[in-house]
Amino acid sequence: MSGRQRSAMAGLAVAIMGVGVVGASVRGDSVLQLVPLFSAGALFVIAGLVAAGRRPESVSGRLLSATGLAWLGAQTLLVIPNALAATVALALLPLSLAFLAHLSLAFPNGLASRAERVIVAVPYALVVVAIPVLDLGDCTDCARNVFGIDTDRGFGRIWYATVMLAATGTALSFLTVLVRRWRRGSVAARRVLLPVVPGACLFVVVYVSALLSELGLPTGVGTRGALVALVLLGLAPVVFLGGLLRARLARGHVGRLVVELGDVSPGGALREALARALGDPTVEVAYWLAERSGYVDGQGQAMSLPSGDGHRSVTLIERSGKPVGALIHDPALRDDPAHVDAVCAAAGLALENERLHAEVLARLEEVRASRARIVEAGDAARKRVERNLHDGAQQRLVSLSLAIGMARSKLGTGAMSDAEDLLGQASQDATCAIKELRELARGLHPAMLSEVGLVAAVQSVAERSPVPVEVHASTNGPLSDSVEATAYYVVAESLTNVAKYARASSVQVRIEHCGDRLRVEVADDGTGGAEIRPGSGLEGLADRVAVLEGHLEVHSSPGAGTRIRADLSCG
Amino acid sequence: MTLTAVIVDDHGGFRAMACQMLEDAGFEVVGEAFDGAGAVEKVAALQPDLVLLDVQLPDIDGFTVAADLSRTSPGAVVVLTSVRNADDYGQARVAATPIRRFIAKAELSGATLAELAAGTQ
Repeated sequence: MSGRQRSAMAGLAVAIMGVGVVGASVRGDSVLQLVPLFSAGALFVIAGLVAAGRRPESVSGRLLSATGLAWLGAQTLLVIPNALAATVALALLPLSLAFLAHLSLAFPNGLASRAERVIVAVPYALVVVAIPVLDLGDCTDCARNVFGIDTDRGFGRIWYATVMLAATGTALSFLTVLVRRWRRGSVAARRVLLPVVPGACLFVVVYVSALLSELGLPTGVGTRGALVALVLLGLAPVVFLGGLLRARLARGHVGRLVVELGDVSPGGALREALARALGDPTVEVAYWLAERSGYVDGQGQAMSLPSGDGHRSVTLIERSGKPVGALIHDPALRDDPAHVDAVCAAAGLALENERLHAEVLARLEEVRASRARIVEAGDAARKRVERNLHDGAQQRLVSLSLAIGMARSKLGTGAMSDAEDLLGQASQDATCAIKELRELARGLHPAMLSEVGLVAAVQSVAERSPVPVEVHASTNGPLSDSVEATAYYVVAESLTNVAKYARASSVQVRIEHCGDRLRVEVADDGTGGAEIRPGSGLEGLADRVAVLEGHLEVHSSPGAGTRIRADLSCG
Repeated sequence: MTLTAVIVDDHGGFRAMACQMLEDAGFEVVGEAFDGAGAVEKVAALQPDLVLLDVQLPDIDGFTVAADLSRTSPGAVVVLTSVRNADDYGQARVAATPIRRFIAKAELSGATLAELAAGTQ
């Protein structure tokens, strides 16, 4: 509710009470008897206006005010000696109860499910259905209900009993929902519901008993029960407002939090302090890492935010307009987002520190992992070279050596033709060994790179690609060996992947200087779907690029081709 | 009487070369195997005088195959061979294996194998 709406509502309440006072004076009734009735209604309206001022987005304030206005309206209309006014008053009284019932389920954050939305509609419907059977009891000079029917016999009696039983059933279903909500509630949720649920339950019990005694059942609830119900009703605005204000009182914790944060050292103490300040022992903190576009925990381990399935809620934390992280907490804390924001603001600096700490840990973890992977990749590469040497060139040379030995003994025995065959085979083995050694050497280090430079080496690897490659490469001045080699491997590995997986029809290779950085990009028009998987060639490339304070990006949506971009520092 | 031999190696090229070398030295090559399991089976069935056994096989290594052969076919002379030297595997390990001799592939000769099989060396 806006400020203007709140003023209008306050004005309306005052006007209604004014009319009531004037009406009572005109009739010659004592105005004093209106004081307790108007006080109860005014209390609802005031509580509603305070609640709406504090929580404009919450429906609770509007429902509290509506309850009060309906009640005040009924009391004023009852003063007016007119049958229609009395009839409206008769309808407004149960309507105020319907508002209150709605509030009991909507408190503090609105209705949670479709079923609850259906249940809260029932009392409103019942009010309409009940209009013909409402009366003011056994008073002779009371104004009559213009739609009233005789409820003492026949159809009227059945209608009356049906309405009473329906009201009983509805009240009991509200009780069930409230009890279930309490039983399923977390610690934080129960803290919020504490002022409301027990009172509402007691009221339902008394109300149901009163309804049943109306039907003539011996429930033992007489005037005393009605008194209890009235007292509970009178307390309702205080209870609801108290529930809403509790959170404000809880802000005392924020001050303590600020003091506690003075001693917080990285590693979990901040989470403990936040859990205490928010009153939610399950609270978790996730820190935002911009470079990863993802969240990590306090230990720097990657984590994802819950999907908001109702079991956990997420509040994003910002500081100076930049994301710092997120609180993952009990949904009950949504009751007072301002309190959560206040706690986050108070913890802002500590959160930022903790975020930096988590970022350092995450980087350290990344460096550790990439260091281990680089060592493993080196070992694997050496193993591959040994295996290739053993299976390839070495076997050829063994054959060569054996063939020469055998040829020599053939020569000794004069079997010239056999010796010639053996030497022919030896020559073939030697040719194969040379070819295999050449390929192996090329795999160890691209000789072209040191002899003719990056651009020519990239052009050479592009020429060998089975997919047509367009190369746009230029460098300003000499590059360090490591930058040249890394840029070369980005192109070579990417082109190998294109040939193996992409089913592309063309590839663009672009190498250019951007300030003191070298940008290497390989883009194809293939099937896409590439990503940096653990143990993949792309992961090896990413590690190699990271060593040069660079960054490897893979853009590869299925069907939209693959673009590998490495950004290397030349400094 | 002609000496018989079985060649165990996963490289077809080497098997062909060794076959020619052994036949030149007067052996009859009665069988070939490309892995350890095949070797144990072939040797048990054919009972050759000589088994030329490579160390690196796709399933089990030549040392294990040699130990199996000493139980299943104790009469066969087993010569272990490899592209590598005996030093690469450790002399102690080579000495502890029930074989007649370890000869690096590049140093194999038909005459030496014939002498080992005939028991004159």
